[in-house]
Amino acid sequence: MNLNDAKIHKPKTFSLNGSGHSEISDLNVSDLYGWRGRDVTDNLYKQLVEKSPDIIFALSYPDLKFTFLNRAFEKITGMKTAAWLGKSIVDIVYPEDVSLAHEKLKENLNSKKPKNFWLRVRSHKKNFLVLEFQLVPKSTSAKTEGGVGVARDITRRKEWENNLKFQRSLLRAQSEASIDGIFVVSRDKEAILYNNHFVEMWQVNGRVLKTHSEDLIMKHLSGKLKKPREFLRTISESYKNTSKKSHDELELNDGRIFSRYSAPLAGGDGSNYGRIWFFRDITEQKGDERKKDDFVAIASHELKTPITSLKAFTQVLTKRQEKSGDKSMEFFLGRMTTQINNLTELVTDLLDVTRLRTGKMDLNCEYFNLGDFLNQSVELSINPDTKQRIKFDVESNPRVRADKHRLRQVLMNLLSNAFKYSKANPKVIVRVGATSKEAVVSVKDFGTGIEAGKLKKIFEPFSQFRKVDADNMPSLGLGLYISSEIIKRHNGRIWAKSQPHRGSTFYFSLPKSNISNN
Amino acid sequence: MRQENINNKLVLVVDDDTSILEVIRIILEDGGYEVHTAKDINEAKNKLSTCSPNLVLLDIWLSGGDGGKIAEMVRGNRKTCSIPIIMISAHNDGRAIALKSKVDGFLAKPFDMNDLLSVVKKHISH
Repeated sequence: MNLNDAKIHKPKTFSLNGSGHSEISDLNVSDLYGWRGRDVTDNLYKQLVEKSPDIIFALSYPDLKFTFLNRAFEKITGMKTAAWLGKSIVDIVYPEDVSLAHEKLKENLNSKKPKNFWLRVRSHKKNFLVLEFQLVPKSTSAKTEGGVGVARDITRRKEWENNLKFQRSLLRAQSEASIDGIFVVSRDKEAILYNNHFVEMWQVNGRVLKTHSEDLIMKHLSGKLKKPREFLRTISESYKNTSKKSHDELELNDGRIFSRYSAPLAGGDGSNYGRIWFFRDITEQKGDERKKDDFVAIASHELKTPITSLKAFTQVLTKRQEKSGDKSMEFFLGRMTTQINNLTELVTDLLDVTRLRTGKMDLNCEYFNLGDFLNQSVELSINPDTKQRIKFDVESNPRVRADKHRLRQVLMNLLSNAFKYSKANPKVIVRVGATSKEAVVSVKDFGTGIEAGKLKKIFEPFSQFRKVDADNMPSLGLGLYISSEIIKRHNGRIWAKSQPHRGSTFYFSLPKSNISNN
Repeated sequence: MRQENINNKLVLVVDDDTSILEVIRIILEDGGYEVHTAKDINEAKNKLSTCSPNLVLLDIWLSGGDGGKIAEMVRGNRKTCSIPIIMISAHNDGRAIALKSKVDGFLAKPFDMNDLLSVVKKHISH
């Protein structure tokens, strides 16, 4: 019912007679609500009081007995209203809160500026309820005679508040226990949470932190980095794309290296609440990785020197044997050459992986026609017997920009695998084609094929790791990983299709180019 | 085994590994070239001033100083500046270093003897 629709009547005060609950002749509810002078009816007031979802009550003073309770009391507490009229409000208070109840009730009934307070009260429905009280004194000639009040059930709210407090304390404990520096930013770019580790690892200035400004804090952090602009640029990008996660590494001016991980704070409904940043000091870990990579690089380099002599001397010996017409050593020299080549491949792969891991694989790109180049590579790099197995099919001759040396390496790796796993059926088809945007190369064999489970991981390092067997050198399964990394660095794609016992086809694509070297 | 040295072409090989020097000498001499060897930067300097090679085969990483310095030395001397230089290296950065040094060719270790002969033949004939 809209108050404006009410019939005009002008009661300044009214009695809560006829409510069936109490008789309080002098309760001035209009004063309580501040509607003095408004045109409303007695009946309207009664309805408002009785239909209120909150408990409305009146107390006598100083015995604090209920002189009035509306229907909401019974609904909320589950206790009979009639049974409590004339009883002290303190008797419904939860035992542990009784002294607090005395204190708060007296304080409010003797104050000109009463303050809200909450108490736990008994309930038939639950162990206890939490009610928030608003209580104002009713006085005549500066003497408190009683009070009128409203009590709202805030049990659910308190449960949520307690739950929230628990979650906050849990979050705080987790963030403080974390080895990461944690920094949380709201949607409005306000720093809403950071742990001590964040402050310590970044040595953040206290005055900057107090601003709670994400912008100022991030700028402060950027001053400690070798590439401050890049840091700020990536942050700006991450805020533009609110669903994007990011992970990178930061180099500090003092030599430390931090990993940075960032994720959006998303609600279940997809709403955005801000962003969380994790920083971890990985200086030591990086140092260990570098030592390991340096060791592999040096060891591989040092291994290549004796292999060079071994290979060259074996070739000299083979050549001299051939010239002399003595074939007695041919078998042994052949085996030696195969094993030296396997060893060379292994060492080269290890070095390449080191270069990929340390980001030191530079490409020397130039423009050329892919079909011509790959055909020439097969002609020059593969011995005549093996070459007979290859059917080279140039559907088109797309122009690309690539590192010839690395591209040859990819093709040779794919061919080497095709030969290795299709000994029973020697045919291998190399096809060069193109789509509107890409040059596509495929190497198809009709060999043993690859199971679906293994196919998924075929381009991961060490995916084909196997022990030494009678025919092979130990394989680290690095060739396809290196090939995929080389193709990725050319902005290309690499993939494979295979059926067990029917063969495999490996594909790679490169962006087409229309530019000539000139 | 050695072919007749019909070309009278001389190759200076600079490498700090004796075994590699030996085998390159054998391969090139079998290919009909005259070969002088040097194990370090000082020996290389002496040979350059005394034997006037037609081509220098140069290891990039030498214990007495890097091959890049020898390449600069050859290029910086009026008498030797036109001598073709082929760099050889077991290091994976070798190809990139060779490109930067603006030498005439590069051969990765371990190399195939036919590749060695063909790269020497290609550049020495110029």
